[in-house]
Amino acid sequence: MFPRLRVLASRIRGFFAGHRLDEDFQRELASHLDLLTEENIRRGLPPDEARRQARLRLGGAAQLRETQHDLRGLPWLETLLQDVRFGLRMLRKNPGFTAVAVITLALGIGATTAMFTVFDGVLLKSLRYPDAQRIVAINTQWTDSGKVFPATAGGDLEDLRGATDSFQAFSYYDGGEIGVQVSRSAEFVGAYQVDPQFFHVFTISPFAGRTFVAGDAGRAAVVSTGFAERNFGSGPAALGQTLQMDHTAYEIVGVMPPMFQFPRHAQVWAAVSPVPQNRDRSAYNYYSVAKLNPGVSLAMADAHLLSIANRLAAAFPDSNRNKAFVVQPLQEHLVASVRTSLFLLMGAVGTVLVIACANVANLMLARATSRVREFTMRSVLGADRKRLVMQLLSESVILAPASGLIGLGLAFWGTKALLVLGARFLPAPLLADIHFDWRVLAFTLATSFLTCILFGIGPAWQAARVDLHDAIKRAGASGLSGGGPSRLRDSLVIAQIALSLALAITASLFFRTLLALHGAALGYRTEGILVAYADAPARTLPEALQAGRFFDDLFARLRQIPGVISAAGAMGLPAGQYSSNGSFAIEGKQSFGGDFRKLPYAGFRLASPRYFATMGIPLIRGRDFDDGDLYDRPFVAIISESLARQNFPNEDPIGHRIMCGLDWNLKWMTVVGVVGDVRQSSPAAQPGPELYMPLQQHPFTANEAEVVVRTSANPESLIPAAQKIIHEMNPDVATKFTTMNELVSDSISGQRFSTALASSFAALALLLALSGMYAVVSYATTQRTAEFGMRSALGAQPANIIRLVVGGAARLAAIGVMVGVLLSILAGSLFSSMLFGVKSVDAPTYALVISIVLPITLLAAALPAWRASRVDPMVALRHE
Amino acid sequence: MADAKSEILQGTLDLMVLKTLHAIGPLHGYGIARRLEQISDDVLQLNQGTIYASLARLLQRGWISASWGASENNRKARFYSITKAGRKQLAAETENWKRIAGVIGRVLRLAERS
Repeated sequence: MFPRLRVLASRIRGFFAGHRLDEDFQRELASHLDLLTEENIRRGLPPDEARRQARLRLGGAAQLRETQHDLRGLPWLETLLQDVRFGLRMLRKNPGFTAVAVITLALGIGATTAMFTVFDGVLLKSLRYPDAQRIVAINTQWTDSGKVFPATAGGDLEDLRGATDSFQAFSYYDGGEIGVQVSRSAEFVGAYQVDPQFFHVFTISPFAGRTFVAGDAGRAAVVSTGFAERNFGSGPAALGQTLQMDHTAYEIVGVMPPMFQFPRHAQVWAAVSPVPQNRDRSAYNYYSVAKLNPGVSLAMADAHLLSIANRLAAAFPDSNRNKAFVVQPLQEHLVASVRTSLFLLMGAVGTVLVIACANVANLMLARATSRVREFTMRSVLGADRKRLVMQLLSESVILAPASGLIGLGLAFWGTKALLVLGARFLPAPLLADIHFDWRVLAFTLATSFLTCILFGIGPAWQAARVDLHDAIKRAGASGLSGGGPSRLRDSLVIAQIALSLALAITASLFFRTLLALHGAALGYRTEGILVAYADAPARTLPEALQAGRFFDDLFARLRQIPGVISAAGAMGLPAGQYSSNGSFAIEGKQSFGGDFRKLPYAGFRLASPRYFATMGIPLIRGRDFDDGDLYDRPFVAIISESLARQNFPNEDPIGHRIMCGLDWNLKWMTVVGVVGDVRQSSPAAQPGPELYMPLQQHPFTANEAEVVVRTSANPESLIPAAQKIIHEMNPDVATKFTTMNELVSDSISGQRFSTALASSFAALALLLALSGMYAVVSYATTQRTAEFGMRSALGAQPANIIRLVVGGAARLAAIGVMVGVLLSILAGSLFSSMLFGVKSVDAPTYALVISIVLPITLLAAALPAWRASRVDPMVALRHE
Repeated sequence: MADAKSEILQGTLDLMVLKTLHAIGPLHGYGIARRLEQISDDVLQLNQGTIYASLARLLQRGWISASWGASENNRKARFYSITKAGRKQLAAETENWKRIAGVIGRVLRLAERS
């Protein structure tokens, strides 16, 4: 090994000292020759003959020098540098070609890099928590239907906590955006009630203070750095301060670093009892996370949980039959909703890159074809094919650094735009991981070089296939036409058209989805409605009832603001953040209890009087809730059309009584009305059974309400007045304002993100395909100038020539469109689940896209065709 | 096959050059070539230039060193001398060569007897 290393070192030295060593060797040979000549003279030869003999003895000087040079230096590197130098010279000589190639590649690389940055941050990077691969979420699974539910029932939590063979730490959590009071102000923030074990799962050191210990339940809270700075000035200043959630005071004992954002948008974590409030085994109100013991695999944990599930199924058949628990790596749990979209978009952007490559390959090919004479000359002088391919390849690879660099710049802005677009869609705990780093840099570098090799190799191989015999015979001609190169060029154009058509169709389908979502009959109005989330803290029944009266007063006062048409409240607004659902029983048909999965199912919503009128949800039968439906009066309910249709097919539901487990005040509720269906969770949701109950009759759930105010003016203009009224009435009430429009728009942010990206990628792809078509047709027509000249000399009209050229282009376009349609059908089957209101193979969309793409493509061919038709026959014939 | 053959020849030439430098001391390229021809009684007719490829290989491996000096007739010439590593290599190669030669010799004698 050692001598070999030494040889390499000496070769590297030799490579850099090459010039000097060559001169030395020249001198050495000269002195050798002199000595030999002298010897020959001594032997009696005449000087001239002596010198000649000496030369013969020594051998060919040029060859010796060459051998010496190759031995001493790094011949392959030298060749490469030579190629690169030559390539750079070629690029300088063709600034137009260079600019087009670099910009095309930079666009492709930039878009791909930006998309990769997001893809990598969300899907590929592991979470930045210590031992992140051991952190799991625990889901409930129904073994009969295979359905997985990401929540856990309160009653099952304690059994899961007992799985210490698998879990090093286990914690449940629940919460969301709720009101948090600090001294005399209140704000709406992501606040979660967590088991004191919570931070043992994540083992993240606090930025200040400490995390929870066993005695902290119900007493201590940890807050985010942002929360601490906003409310107390700094992280350490927050320690020892008090905050209130739901009338419970918690002392702030720790401040978490900004990187920790789990669960979604969490800013406050309050320690609550490890034993949950609701211990029912069929109410799925909690989420659980755990850290696996070192060495425990997911399969081992699943097996362990299965044995627990089996034991529970035997003990509590009503609630636990066919129920299993499965672990899921936390990362997967977080990205489950965005995974398909991101894969699809990554595929789309990869297609754009391929199209960009095809474009540059076409340019290279066209240029190489006009350099046939050069290659012939090189071949004649002894260059073998490998050498020619290497030369052409290095000419394309030197485009990599420039296009990579510009692409990186584009990607920098692109990523920012993606983050703005995706802010509502991408999983919040992972947003911090989406940034430029060495991984992205390595990706860009690899992509740039790979693409340059990819587009370079085909043309290089093609061009280097010089048939000496043929080429020399045609030495007078300016270049090749017909045969291999043009076939490769045509296929590249066909591929470009096909791929961009497929992208355009995909983007259009997404766009149609978005339109369908915007146009979907929601069942409620979104215009002119201000939404205020308001949280009136309450813990005891009197406090909760007080909160209910507070809301009634609030609605009354809001109605007095000028421009307000009506005001009401609800808990469980469509597209809002609160959602509750469960089973219910109809008196005389079912009894509430037993196996819950045999009971009908509905969404549970609370509403104040006039809520339906404010929201524009039509009252179909019966009456609305009124001010007499109070806590101490008979309980009532209003049902949605779907619920009426499914459960009261041939009878009037009014007057029937219903019971559900929304809160633990189980009472029969009389159905007093039927209202229209709404698309509840988002415009993409199917209208389903909904059960509405009066806010006042369910005070424990109703201390947080979504206040809706309908106005003829811009709803946002009401915010200051509404804010003032609420603050005057009770400064402890935390509020957050939005509009119905915004809520609905947020609920389809995923579709918007995918559509925006797919559309931009498709536009980019089309642009590239058009310039590809233009380049190929104009190149081909230039090559055929003489032919066109001949034709017009023989009497062809300009129109004939235009038809000829455009006809050729149309043939390529037609094949491209056919392939593109096939590709679209294939791709459609991958994302059909992401569409709404349109089928993946939608004839009108296909027809529309084709009817746009085809003429544009032909237009790209028309300009060069027109130029060709204007050729003066005399000039053209001299062209050869 | 052609490669293998030339490799053997190269190796042999390297060994001879090394031995020459060991036996005679610093020499220039012409001197080495001349010396090799004399020793072989002019049986070995070299294309004298090939000696330089051998010298370059030996230099790279650090078995010989080179410096500029004056030749017998006061011309500038490059003198090569064997290094310590070169001597070690020579000893090893000589040993190796003898062993192979011995084996081949024995085999050939065996063939004669039968």
